[in-house]
Amino acid sequence: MRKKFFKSLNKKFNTEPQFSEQSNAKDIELKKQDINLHYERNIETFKAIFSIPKNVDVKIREFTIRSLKCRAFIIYISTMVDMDQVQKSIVEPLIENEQPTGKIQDIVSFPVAKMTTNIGDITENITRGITALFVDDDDQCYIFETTKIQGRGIEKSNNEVIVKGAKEAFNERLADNIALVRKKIKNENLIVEAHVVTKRSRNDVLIVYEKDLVKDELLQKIKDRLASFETDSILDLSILEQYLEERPRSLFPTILNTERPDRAASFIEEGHIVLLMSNSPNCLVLPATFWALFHSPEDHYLRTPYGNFIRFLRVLALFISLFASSFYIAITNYHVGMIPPDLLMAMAGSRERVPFPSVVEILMMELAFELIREAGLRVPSPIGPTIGIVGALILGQAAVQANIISPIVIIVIALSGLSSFIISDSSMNFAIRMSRFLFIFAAGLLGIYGVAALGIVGLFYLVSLKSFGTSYFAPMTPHFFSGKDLLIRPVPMKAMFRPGYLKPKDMVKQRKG
Amino acid sequence: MKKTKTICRILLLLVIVFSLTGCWDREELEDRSYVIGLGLDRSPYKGKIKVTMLLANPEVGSMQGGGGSTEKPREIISFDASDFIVAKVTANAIISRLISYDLLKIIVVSEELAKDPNFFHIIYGAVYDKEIRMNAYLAVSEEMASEYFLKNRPKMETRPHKYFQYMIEHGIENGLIPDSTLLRFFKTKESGTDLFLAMNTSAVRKKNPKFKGENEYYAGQVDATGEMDDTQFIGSAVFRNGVMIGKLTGQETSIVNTLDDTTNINDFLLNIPNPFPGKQKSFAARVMKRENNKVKMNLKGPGPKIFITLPLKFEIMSNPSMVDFSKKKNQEIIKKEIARHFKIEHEKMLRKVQREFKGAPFPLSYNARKYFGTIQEYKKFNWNKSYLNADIYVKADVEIVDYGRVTKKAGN
Repeated sequence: MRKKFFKSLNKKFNTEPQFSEQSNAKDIELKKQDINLHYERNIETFKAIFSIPKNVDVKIREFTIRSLKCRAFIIYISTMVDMDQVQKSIVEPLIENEQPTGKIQDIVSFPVAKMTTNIGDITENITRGITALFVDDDDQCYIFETTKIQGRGIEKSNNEVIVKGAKEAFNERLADNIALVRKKIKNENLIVEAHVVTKRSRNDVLIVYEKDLVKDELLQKIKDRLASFETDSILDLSILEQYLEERPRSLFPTILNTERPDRAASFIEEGHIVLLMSNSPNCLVLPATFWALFHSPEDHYLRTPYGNFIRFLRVLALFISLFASSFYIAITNYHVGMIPPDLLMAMAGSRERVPFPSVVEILMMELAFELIREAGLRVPSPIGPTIGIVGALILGQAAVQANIISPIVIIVIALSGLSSFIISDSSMNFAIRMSRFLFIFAAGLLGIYGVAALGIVGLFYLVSLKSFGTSYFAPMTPHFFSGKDLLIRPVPMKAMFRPGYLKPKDMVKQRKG
Repeated sequence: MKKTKTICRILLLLVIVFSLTGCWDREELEDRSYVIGLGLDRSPYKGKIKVTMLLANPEVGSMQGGGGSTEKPREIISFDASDFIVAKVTANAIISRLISYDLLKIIVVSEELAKDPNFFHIIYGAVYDKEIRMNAYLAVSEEMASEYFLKNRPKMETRPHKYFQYMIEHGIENGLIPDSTLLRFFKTKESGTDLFLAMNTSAVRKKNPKFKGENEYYAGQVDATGEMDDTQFIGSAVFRNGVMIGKLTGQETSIVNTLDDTTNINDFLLNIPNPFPGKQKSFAARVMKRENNKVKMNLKGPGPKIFITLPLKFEIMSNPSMVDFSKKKNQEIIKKEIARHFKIEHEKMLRKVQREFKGAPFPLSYNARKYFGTIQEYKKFNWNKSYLNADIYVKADVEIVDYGRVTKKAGN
């Protein structure tokens, strides 16, 4: 009875809205047809498809091929093609060549990519920046790869800064990105596969992997997942990341998003799969574990003791940024006996004039810190760095002098805030910063008991997380053979295996010398 | 549907958890007033005690730079109450903040109350209070505890918790006062066999005290003059079965501390009679105890025999007779003298305690237990009675690690 009631209620509120959409059946029908032998008819068709002359950058140029003595036209999008190339290698030879030869391929110096007849196919290619040549009385259309898209060059990595090691980062041009990976892995087994994932914008995703390493089931799983999207457009890789994730509402990321080609290459060499997309200056690494998100490429570039030292610092920073504020609240509110007398006296003395309970105090400062951080990010770059430091200093100093917060809280917040910067992965960073607030509430309600309880529940949750079938804490728990590169990294000579959770075709990376 | 179910479950879980525990006893730390010292005295009213609380003012001395206050560093209140637990509430009639025993460092009991047969029942309340920690120290003062706290006006450490912390820490390190935590007090009382030593303190200096040998003083007898506080921590009060029965001097206390393996006495300085000719009758040495004592017993027969070997290391700190210690002969002489001195002093002290207070001033009975197969046998042996007839032999295992600077006589 009750079930039924809820069900009907649910139905009532969650109906899918119906829209009266304009039918595009005619267009779809048109795109399925082949091109016409009649020159005039073809011009009409494509003028209609590309809305010429309303669409200013779609150009049609009509001319006569002198050697064949027939009329022809080329159509292209002027902003996406190399105009010089079109002029010099396609148009000029066609007009000026006088020797009578029968074939277009022999006249034009630019290589013909392919010949096609389907209108839909041609349209799709034109939108990519190719030039299409139509000749009177010819049922084939000649397609030239003249694409030249403007973009930024290869620059230094901005978000994952390291001291030692390669500095270059992915940019928005797909060809560059693939080249960056290829130049690190010079192997014919490195496969770059294209997949179109959306219907309207026709965004394509490149799947990069090593054929003789990656487990076929994993590859199939990812391909199936990519094929399953029913959406018009996915503009960016970061949006694709959200489509791909098993738990998009989860606090913790399960896919590694990096802008460093060296990092991508090292993951490919281990048997992971990397996704690239045009217009996105980064790549996705699947599957990703907690360790992949937690490590930094610098750990490996530095000598083993130094690398492990910064690992250790990062672990410490992780715990400090998670627990510093909650620990402070728990201790000052519930477990006063834990504080050494001198510190307790100092804290009590400085808290005496503060009007708020310590939970409110901490929350206020945490919020202020997050505000400064976000503001520093959004502020136009010329005033950016100054406003961050000045804002923090003034806010801290003035708040203490105005007796709104106690100086110890500033130390706690500064420490936990600073530590959170050490976790380099931006998604992981957010996860830690947000769970910190949960811990603060838990500490405010139940003291250390609450912190411990939430910590245990959180650990349960993390262990249950999966990234494309891989447990979040693998290979530590569940245990797999691996390079043993978890909390502490061994010397490179000892890392003999690829991660076992990927079940790679070739498990052994190096044999014992 | 599934969602509602999960939410209901989570809510139920939260309700259960929060009914078990929660922020009900949450208290901001500045809302409390911290008792550093607790004084207990006999009250003129029957069944009551006089409770004295020494409260620290957290504002004094805690602020760097500006914002320092002109308030007094401490507050002292005395009143009559049935026990010192309920006294917390009574004290709130006078003190603005919630009284807390979280930082309780020292419980000072007047000699008068400590000798009261009821004393143990009064102090036993400390076991039940969650805030009082078992590492608080028990001290006995000759005068009233209420008077003691009033008279105690340290010149250097105005903050009381710091004063007591330093005073007790260093006193124990030097061996002049025993490590008399509440834990040891209750443990000794429960075992019922040995004596417990509480530190002896006094804030009233005796008028014209007699000069005695090195450290042979009770609290208040050290004749010091100058611009200082009169409070002294030296010597110990002896408790049997939770009631005070007598006192030991500073020197006797330090001897007990060397014999007791359960305290942490690392090293202390000592005067030892000079075996070499010269005007100076004694030389200074640093005594270091790094290993546990070896205790052997022969518990058969009417008079049990107890052999204690002290493995001690020495550093010679002064050489009044300008002896050349590079010579083997001189080394032997000083070693023998130290061993002799330690044997005499230790045996003298142990015999005195055995005769006067009828027990061992440190948990010696623990060593005796291993000589019995069952508890019944041990009980039948009756340590308390048998110990009175025991012969105790102390032997010092002297090892001199450093003879000090080798001096050369002029002209050599």
